[in-house]
Amino acid sequence: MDHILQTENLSKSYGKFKALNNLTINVPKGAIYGMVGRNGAGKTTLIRIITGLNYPTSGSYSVFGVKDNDKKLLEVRRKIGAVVETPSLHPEMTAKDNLIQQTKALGISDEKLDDILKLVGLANTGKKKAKNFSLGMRQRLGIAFSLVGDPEFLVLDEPINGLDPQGIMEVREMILKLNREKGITILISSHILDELSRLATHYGFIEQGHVIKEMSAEELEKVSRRSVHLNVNDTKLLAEVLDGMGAEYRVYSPNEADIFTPIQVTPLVLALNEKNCFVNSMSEHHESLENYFMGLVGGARNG
Amino acid sequence: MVNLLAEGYRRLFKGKRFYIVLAVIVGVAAFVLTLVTILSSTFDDSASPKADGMLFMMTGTMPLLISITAGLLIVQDFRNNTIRNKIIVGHSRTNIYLASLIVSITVAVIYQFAFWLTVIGLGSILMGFNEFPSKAIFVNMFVALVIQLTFTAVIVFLCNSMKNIGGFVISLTMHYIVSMLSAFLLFVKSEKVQELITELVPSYQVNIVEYGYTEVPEHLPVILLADLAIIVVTTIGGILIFNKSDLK
Repeated sequence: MDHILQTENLSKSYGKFKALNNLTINVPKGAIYGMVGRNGAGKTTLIRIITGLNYPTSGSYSVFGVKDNDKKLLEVRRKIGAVVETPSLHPEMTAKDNLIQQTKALGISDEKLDDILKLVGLANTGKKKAKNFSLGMRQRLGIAFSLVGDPEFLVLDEPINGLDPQGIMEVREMILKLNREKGITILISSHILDELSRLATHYGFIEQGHVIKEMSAEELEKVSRRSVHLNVNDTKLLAEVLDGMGAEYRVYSPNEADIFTPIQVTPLVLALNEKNCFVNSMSEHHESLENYFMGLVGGARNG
Repeated sequence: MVNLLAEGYRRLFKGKRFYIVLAVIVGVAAFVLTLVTILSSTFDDSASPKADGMLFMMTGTMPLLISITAGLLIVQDFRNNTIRNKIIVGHSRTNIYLASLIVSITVAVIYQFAFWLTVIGLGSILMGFNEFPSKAIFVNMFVALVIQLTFTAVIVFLCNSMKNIGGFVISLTMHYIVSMLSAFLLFVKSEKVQELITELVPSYQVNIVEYGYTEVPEHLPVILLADLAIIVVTTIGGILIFNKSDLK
């Protein structure tokens, strides 16, 4: 399998703090690779390193098959577009002027800029300066920036931060379109795992600067378990009953919990009834990306 | 490099700051010349001041004005994180630094020549010149230009290395701080050492051209070599620091 990005035991330390700890990931060509991890897990540090903003303390990486110590790396970086954390904009310029700046830096014509602005939904911003944009508009302009050079590899760090529901949907569709129609490989990190699960074809689960699991969306589908989601009047009572049954479960709130062990409904409800625990609703779910991640990093899952 | 220069120049000429500072430089030159002409004709018509000295009156102020435009242009690239956009698409940090230096030097040269053209143009009309054009004045104008280029290299070094407003503030005030430190020269007993320090430090070189413009500086090669050394050292040092630093 061709890989656009591969890292090998990549480490980055800031003083005594290890932001990345022997991190190894493999981003296949044509994939939408979702990076899943808590705050401070090392996602942004990894993105900063592969985009050339930071240097690794040890380890190596290759982009488009070119190693990080190869002089050709600068050449292949032309094929990368990225939004790292906050969008990097010229606040005193309009959206189009901002993008013209990037065409100058790339030495390309600005004929495609109207199409890019249309694609990100900023075609009608006219003379409004970027400093007066909403957070969502800035986010879109940041994405537009990353698209100016017709990248083959797009790195998006929290691209839907600050977007309204419609904006999230539009960015999602845009990412899918770029991936499917233009074949752009996309590395994306997001805290909104539900959203990520609608996009990603591959996942890398990062914890404490280390990749604890890499898998495709199909593999995730196979290994993720079914669960029964319960809404009850008191999850403490539910926990007592489930402990007695030796079931695997996770409590989310005083009223909500998931049960992962296959369980017969009638005996459970009767047992709950005896403890004055009443079931308000019950539904069957496929384990979500969020649940799978929490299970991997040893969240609040029992058993 | 050409692309980086195109990006840098567009950012420079698209902003208002460049033109505001340029207007201040031309305005101050015009105002001082006009004021001196009016005052001399009003209060003492026996004296007829000439505009020769005016050619050097802003030599010490120019670094501040260059810093306002060029220094802020660099610092804002870091503050807005727009420097990322150049690194991500594969521009080397060395080229980014050199492009910043060239754009800043352009600012220095434009400002210096705008000032001189104003003084020469308006000075010819209002006051006339005693010695200009003369070899000594041209040599001193050349030295003044080299001093500005040296200050510019230091401004680029400070702003690129510190990457924040702190770097800008230091570059803005460095000439005045170094000038104040001249008091310590009084503690240097050897006159030769005093003279050498005056010739080596750009802030003190300013005095040589401001007050001695009618003569070619005695140790011209020393002054020029000192400035060249500062330009080379700050540029190489700045590139090395920038190449090793992590960016946000």
